[in-house]
Amino acid sequence: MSGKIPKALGFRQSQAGLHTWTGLLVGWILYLIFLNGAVSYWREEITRWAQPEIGVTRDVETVARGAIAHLQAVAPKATTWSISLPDERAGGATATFREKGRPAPRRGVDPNAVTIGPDGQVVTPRDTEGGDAFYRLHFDLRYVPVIWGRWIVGFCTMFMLVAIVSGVITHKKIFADFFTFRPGKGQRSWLDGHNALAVLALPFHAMITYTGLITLMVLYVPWGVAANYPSKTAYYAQSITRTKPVKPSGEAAPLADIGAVLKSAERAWDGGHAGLIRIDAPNDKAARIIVTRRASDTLVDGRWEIVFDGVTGQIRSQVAPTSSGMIARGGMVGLHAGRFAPMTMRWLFFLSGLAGTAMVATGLVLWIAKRRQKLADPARPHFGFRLVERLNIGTIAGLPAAMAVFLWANRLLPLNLAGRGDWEVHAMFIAWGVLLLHGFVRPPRRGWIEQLSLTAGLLLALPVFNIAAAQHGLVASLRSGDTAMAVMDLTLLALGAAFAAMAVGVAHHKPAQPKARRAKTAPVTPKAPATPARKAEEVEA
Amino acid sequence: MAFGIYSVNATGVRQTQKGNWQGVRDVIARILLAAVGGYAVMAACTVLLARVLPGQALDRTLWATILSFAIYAGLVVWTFAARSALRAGAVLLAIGAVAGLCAWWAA
Repeated sequence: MSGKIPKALGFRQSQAGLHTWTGLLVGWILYLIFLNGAVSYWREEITRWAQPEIGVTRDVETVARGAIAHLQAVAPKATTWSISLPDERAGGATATFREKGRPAPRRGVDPNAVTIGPDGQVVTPRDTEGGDAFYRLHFDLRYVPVIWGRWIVGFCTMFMLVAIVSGVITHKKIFADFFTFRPGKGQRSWLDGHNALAVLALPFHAMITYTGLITLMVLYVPWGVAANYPSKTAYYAQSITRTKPVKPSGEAAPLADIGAVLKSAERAWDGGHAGLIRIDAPNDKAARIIVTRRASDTLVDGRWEIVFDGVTGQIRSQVAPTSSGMIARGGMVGLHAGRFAPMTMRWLFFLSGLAGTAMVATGLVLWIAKRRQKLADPARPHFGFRLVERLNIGTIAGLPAAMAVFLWANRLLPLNLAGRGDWEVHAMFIAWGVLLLHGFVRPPRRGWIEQLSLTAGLLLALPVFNIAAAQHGLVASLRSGDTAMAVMDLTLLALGAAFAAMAVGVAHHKPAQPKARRAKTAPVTPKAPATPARKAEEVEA
Repeated sequence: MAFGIYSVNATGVRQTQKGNWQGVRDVIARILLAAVGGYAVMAACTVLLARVLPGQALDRTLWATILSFAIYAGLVVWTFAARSALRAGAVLLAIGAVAGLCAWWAA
């Protein structure tokens, strides 16, 4: 009979088991995905923070003119110029060109690319991935081939979707759960916290998980494409329409004024903005200027494009998404990435992402809290228990510390170090490796306190270091009206304070179990009877 | 109960050594059924939808792919809720076969 579920257990219990085990299996990776995803809502701001050499963009037209002047100077006869313009949140523009007979460079290693600062001049910022490091980590992972990373992330995300559905089914009294919090009650508190965080942002969690799958859906589920197209290339040819490059006429002609082109695009898009400028056959009579709309202009992540005559500056043709499928997909991708989100909503996205991170963390701790009381010998927990407990420390407390190390590396590594941008990332992962190891060698309670304190210290000291060592500290940001950078420093302080509070919380926590292996580190107060609920209080963090 | 997804303890029934092993086997069977079988059935349903939904090829393709994750999640949840792994496998096979045949017929 055991091959079957006893009927009495029913649907809800079966889902409870599914929820626990799927959650544990992918919990640590989900924690990484959630945390880096939440942080990536500040991708542009972090990049700007990481490149203090570039100021904030005030006027896009100045930047565009500067980029064109640079390209005129270095590559007047190129096949194509490309300029990616910043929005209000970003720093400089990127300008690059491609010459005849040379293939397009691979992403990230374009020798022709330069950064144009807010004043329109070429700037050389420090070599750093900035916010892109967290953004890429969020869905590509690191040190594994990108496709593997994406499959692993997709696998975990699918688990997350199943965990959400089974979690909702498990918690029959889902809204009652939301208003239930019983602090200081060990396992019970962790469960309440897990429920509250999950339900609080449930619409966000469901949305972000599903739309996350949609961002890479054709990779994960290529069968719809296979049903209707002979190859993926044929599908992409129809879904991503690119304006074909023009053939140069060989007859020279001056390029249309970029300012006028940008204004014309703005009018055509009812106040929308240019994000990308591609100029085919510049300085030729056949020149074309192709302007693509800024991603942060619209909710739908889609392709709005205007093709201008490169000499007269007249509009030749326009493209906008029309396919319902493309708009649905683009809307979901846009919702996920939140590029459209104005500041208030961006903060809500970020905080919801942090709530999701905390939900995963409390779920992982809950697994331990629940099983601690059932241990046959608390002094010698079985292997699985120890593994989960130690991995929890090195991930929940260790990963944020490692991410802070990335920011420190950004400030401390010598500017002329070869492969500097890579070393910032290596520093993050070396730190994480050390902390994972640390979690295994230290007694768990000490491990939690030390790692949480370290995270707090690293985060709190960063803004202080900024004030002391660079001219880009909090005071300078406030004085120059660069609110985003001031807020970033303040946010680091707030996050540091939160981790400090957690460290203090663990340090002051008194385990109530007389026989616990940590009895010697904290005095035991035998006042309260050691009921199972009290025993579970032993759980730290 | 290390693998006690269906920890029989909850019903108050004492679990024997043999019963426990069968429980583990049942869980492993369900995991495989959900991950591999569920994916295959979802793929068949996606192909079917991509062919029978209204609209142009691009729209049909995209809508079917968007819906595929909901289908997959539903199949996985159901696989774990079914009364037995055998039953879950039989129903998955039936859905997959019907969807696959219809998709083939719709091509």
